[in-house]
Amino acid sequence: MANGNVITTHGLTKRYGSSITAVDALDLEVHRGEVFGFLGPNGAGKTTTLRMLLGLIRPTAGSAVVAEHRPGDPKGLRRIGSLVESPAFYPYLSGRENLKIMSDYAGVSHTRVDAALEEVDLADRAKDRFGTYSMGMKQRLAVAAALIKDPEVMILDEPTNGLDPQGVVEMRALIRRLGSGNRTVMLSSHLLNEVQQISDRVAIIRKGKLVAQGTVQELRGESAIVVRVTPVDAARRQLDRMLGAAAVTAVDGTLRLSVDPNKAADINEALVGAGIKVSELRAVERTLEEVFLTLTGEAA
Amino acid sequence: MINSFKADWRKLRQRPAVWVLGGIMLTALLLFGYVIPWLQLAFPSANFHPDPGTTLQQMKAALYPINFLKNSLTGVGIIGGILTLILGALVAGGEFNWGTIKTVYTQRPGRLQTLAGQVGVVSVIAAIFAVAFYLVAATASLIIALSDGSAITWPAVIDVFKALGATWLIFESWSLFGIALAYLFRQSAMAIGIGLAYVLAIEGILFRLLSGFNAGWLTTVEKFFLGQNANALIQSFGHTVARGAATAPLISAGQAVTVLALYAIVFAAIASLVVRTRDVT
Ligand SMILES: Nc1ncnc2c1ncn2[C@@H]1O[C@H](COP(=O)(O)OP(=O)(O)OP(=O)(O)O)[C@@H](O)[C@H]1O
Ligand SMILES: [Mg+2]
Repeated sequence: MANGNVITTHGLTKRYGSSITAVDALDLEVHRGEVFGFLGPNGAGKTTTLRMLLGLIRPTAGSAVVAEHRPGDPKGLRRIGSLVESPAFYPYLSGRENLKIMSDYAGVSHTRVDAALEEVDLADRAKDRFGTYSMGMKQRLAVAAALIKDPEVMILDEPTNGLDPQGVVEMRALIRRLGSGNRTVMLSSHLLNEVQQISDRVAIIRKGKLVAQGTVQELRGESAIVVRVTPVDAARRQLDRMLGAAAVTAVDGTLRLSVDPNKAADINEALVGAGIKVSELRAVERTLEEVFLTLTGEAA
Repeated sequence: MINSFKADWRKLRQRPAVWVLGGIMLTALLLFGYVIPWLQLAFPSANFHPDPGTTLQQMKAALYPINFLKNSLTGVGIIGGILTLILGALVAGGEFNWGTIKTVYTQRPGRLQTLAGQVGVVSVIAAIFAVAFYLVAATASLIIALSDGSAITWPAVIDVFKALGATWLIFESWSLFGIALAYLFRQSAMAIGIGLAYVLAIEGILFRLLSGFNAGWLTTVEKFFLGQNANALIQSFGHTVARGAATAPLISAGQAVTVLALYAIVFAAIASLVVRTRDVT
């Protein structure tokens, strides 16, 4: 793992027929130990990408390396726990039996089954048939199945799908816990705030193309303070002196100050002290949501 | 491969459909092989006549232990073949129906190992079916002989093993046919439908219709079909009741075994090819 990447893709592409390009020349880097949010609106190509990373489908072009192996290699899969699209298990068997079967396939002992059930809070329903589970319980069983290998890498496709608000909160906490330490979690979602809260870095795709990749902070852009002041010229001179001319830009009759929003009180004090009237002073912080909508919207 | 086998064995031994199929097979054997024939012979209706050239006693003897292999083999070809075809289609197709194939493939084992484990478990189930089949037949024949007060003689042990082997091979080739169809169609319903249509329409109706034309090339073609070879293998064990002069069989037992084994291999190869190359969504 020379560069510390657990997942790397180069020009990863999947075409269906001649008209649909589900994933288009994707270059991703997921670093060891991070929680990586993979964002995109419906139909953006998230699930298709994750299927390629797991070797379920073959890329039309490009390549990927996951846990030091090509996708689908049993040696790599041994180290990857995953959930792709909807949870799928044998409906006539209990949750516990299903996990035992998946342990057999994974070549790990059954001893982790009960711990995994505890982890997802499903222990008391473990004896019931999977077919009788609610959507949320199915989802949690799928996460448990991903956990039985004690994987270094977890690839989770919309893990909060179908969960109630309480379940969403619990799942988020679980993912954060799973992603702490050395384990890498790649998590897809079309819900911004969800990913924003637990991810170290995110990638945003739209129509199969990568539109942004970086830390949440990087994607939100720098935060700033906007002030509406009179007289503007005097205020500008004062602020140039205080913050440096480069940090001050005039925008639509306001001044935009590229500084930490925590400095708002100091700035206010300085301006008022210089006899300048401050009619508005606010911090501007783009939410990831705004970034997302701009990047993925039709207008973008 | 061992891991996949363990997983599939755990999964299939708990799957009701598997044992329902086995139950249907044994019930059909009991009913059509023993209960109904025995009722016919024990309480013959006024217009009942033994088959030409045989006596009632000879027909009764067909149900006794000495004949239990031959008598039950007749049921292996059609009923056993169809049921094991359904077994194969259900086992392989279920993974597509439930979407579990993706859960399994992403666990670890590798696609060919998964297929190998699955085929291994189906082969074991086919063997269990074959053994259960003859156990039930032997028991039924023993009960009938005892109730008739007839002497109990069993066929030679070597013949029992031959019959078991032949039955397993027939079950195996049909179940692999079902497995291959399920992988091709990615579901069980279509696989069962196509499989049954093949058995009934091609092997059943078409060949029977065409046999009326007595065309040499047709007999040559027929020699290479699954059902015809399964039947030939069954016929090679002889009839329970001798009927007229024996005619030379179209297909020898040796050829039948070879062709059936080839079919099993070809079906497995088709499944492996599909398994290796297909996208799983
Ligand atoms: N098997 C397939 N055949 C044809 N087109 C497909 C196939 N699978 C996916 N697609 C197309 O590829 C595109 C991306 O689909 P994908 O499921 O990857 O989106 P997604 O980002 O996971 O969306 P969602 O948030 O709705 O889950 C869609 O336009 C979809 O219709
Ligand atoms: Mg999706």
